[in-house]
Amino acid sequence: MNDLDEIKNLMDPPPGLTDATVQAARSRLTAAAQGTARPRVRSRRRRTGGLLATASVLAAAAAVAIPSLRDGDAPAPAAPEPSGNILVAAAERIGSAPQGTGRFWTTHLQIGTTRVVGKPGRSYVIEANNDVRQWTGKPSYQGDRFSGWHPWRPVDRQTWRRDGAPGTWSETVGGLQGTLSSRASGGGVQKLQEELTFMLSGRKVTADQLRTLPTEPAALRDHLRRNRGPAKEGAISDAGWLFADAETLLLEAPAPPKVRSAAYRMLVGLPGLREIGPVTDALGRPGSAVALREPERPGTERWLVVDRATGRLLSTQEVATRSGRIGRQGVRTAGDVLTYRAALAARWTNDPPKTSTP
Amino acid sequence: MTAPTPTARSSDADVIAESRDRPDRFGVIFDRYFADVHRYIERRLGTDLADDVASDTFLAAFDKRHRYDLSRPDARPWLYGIATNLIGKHRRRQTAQFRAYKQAAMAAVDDDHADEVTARLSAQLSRAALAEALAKLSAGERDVLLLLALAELTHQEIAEALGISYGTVGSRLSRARAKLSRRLRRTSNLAP
Repeated sequence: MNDLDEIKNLMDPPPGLTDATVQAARSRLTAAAQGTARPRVRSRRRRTGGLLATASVLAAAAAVAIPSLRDGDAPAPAAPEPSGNILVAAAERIGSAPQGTGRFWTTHLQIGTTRVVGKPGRSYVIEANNDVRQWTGKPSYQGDRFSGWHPWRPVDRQTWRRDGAPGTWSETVGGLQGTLSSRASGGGVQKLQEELTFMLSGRKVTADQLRTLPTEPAALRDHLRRNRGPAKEGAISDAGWLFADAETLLLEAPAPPKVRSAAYRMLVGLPGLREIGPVTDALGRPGSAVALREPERPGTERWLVVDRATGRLLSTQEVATRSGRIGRQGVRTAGDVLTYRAALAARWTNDPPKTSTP
Repeated sequence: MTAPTPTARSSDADVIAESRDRPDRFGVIFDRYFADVHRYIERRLGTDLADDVASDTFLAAFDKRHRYDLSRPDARPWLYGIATNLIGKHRRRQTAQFRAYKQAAMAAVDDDHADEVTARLSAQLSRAALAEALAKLSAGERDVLLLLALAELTHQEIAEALGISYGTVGSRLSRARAKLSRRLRRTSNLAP
């Protein structure tokens, strides 16, 4: 892709030409041609948030890595299997967990993404992740370590060796050449100036605010809908928002057990949601999965992988639903994990971490 | 009576010549190009302003139809030239639009599922840098570059559209591209 294509892709707001606009402009011209008065036809389009709306639609499009295939997803089952069993079972288990206490809420997450590299017919998947540890409290602490890029599965490792076992890969994004390096970086834990917060419905919420969330599924859902950040409205479906909120509440935020239980239950019956059943997550841990397909994210679906014994959310992952090109992630096979967030630990503690000077 | 054959499409110049005596014929030019010109303006100014500016473009073109150079069969360079002039009157809005593109690129970094990882890749950051670099070009450089990239006019057509020489088109273009690649190279090393 050259720089001109790149400009064209960047400057690509959703087309907004309507028949009404064409008619208005045409009749203004006709009036001029007939020598009659020319009313200045001001646009009646609402201007509120026009640019922001544009920005968020673009953001959604860019974030989701729009596939270039136009043949559509494999159809989701017409009558979706009930997603209630896994969700209700998880809600019951997590809801009866004791409310923990401590000075800090500490989490250990692994956040990974993948790419396809290599030659056509000899391609393989590489993965990189950030290993993020957080201590939310007053003060808060954070440390992260970047793994560097490496061949992901054993089969990828084999192909990588045949490819000459390179330590860097080049990636062209928007006409720009970048390097994906196998070099790891980061690692130290640092004290933060501000208390860590969590993103819920597109807004930052504190650990204290999470304690006051409704514990009834319908009330929680209504609360989250009412408090949505305005910028993303319209770009994400209602189901997409609620799914993302459940991810936050269940994976990384110190929500009380009854709120977590409600978070599972509020997903039951969401459009596009279905039950998958027993799976292993991106880190190879067994669990049960439910998946959400959204029209805004063609070619992919998002999974919640739940630990059956405890009802805890093990990980969330983005999975290819068909074989073909999926945006930046390259040509993928149906079922491939594209990105994931996996929880390795999430608990209350009284102990602050050992910090390191950067 | 014979039906007109599908291939019998009059040149734009013919239609404009006819419209000098029969003003309603100018509707043919409108029907041929309104959507494309609207899209070009929309990309540069955003949708809401594009409705007005596109309408103004065709009205201004209608008013100037007596001065159209009939030796040019294709009216697109002329229309894009008028549109580009009108866009030039909305400097603040142009800047705001580039800011929106930049925000969109930055938001994509935040929204990405594996945000902490991909932030390091800075792919979207490069898009943001591109938006910023485009906003910082001179008006003349930007017009030439965007007529090439968005309207897909040739060098010669751009020269006609803006009323500048062929050589000026080339020199503005190479200056604009050099500026962009200088700015982008700074953000394109993706390794942490």
